[in-house]
Amino acid sequence: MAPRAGTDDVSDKERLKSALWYAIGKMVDHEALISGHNATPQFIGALTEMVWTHIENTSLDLENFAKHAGRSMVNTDDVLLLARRNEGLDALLRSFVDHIRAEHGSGGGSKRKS
Amino acid sequence: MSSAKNTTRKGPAPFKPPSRVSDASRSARTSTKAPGQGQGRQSRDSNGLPGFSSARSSLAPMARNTSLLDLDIELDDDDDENEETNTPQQNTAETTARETPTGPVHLEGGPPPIPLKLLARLIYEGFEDKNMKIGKEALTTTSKYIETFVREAMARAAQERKDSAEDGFGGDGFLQVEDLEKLAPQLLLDF
Repeated sequence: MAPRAGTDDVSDKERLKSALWYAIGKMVDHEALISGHNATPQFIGALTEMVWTHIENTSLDLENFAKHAGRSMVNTDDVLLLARRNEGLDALLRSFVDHIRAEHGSGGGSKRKS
Repeated sequence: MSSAKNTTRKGPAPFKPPSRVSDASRSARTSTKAPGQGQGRQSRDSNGLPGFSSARSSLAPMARNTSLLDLDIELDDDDDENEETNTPQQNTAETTARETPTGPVHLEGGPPPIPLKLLARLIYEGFEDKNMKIGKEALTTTSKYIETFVREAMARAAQERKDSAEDGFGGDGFLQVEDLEKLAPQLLLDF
């Protein structure tokens, strides 16, 4: 499918979705190997749609969180706020952030401490 | 969840439940595991969130693939290729590791992540304010968030499949769209 200059908006979206589909497919294959299940292509497609929509929502959330804080830059605190309603997820993301900060040394500073 | 505010959402994007795929067309991917394998480590929760706690316990000790963390955003797209490093040997080890979530189990290489560049692009597409930016650490964390979302969906779908198989509907071990449909509402509430 040759991308044409005229139909940029649609074809860009389609190509982004294809890229996401591919990435999700790899993740699904990996998980499937571990768990002993397989997934139908339709499953992967439906999951891709779900993730796509979820990323759109996430993106808007992050933007609004940052704006609410008077910033024009989304930072890690905003992302952690995404998980505010799910304790387990919150703990997971926080430990992940701690982990990457430990690895990067002084990396992000200590703005998250609360 | 700000779906009410989401003006960029395209029209209805419903799941289109397809008919079941026949085994013959999928034989290439069945080869690795027999269907129904892995049912031994069933740890069914009765708290109404089947699969969630078990999936989380498997996520927790999963150390992030460190190669991802060293990536700069402008790094090339080739980082999808590190999934080749999974040998079947490791996978059985991981399977057993999921049975005993006690203690940090270091797994070599998590799932192949969504390329950061792709995720950044998708997020920037979603911003309404074109001046909005996202920090690198925030992006990495978002990647983890989405990865968790996908893995959670998989774990719950596997649970749904197991339940359906026990009820006598299709035991071929293939995750179906119907499984995803059943878990989607709760999953989206949880994330």
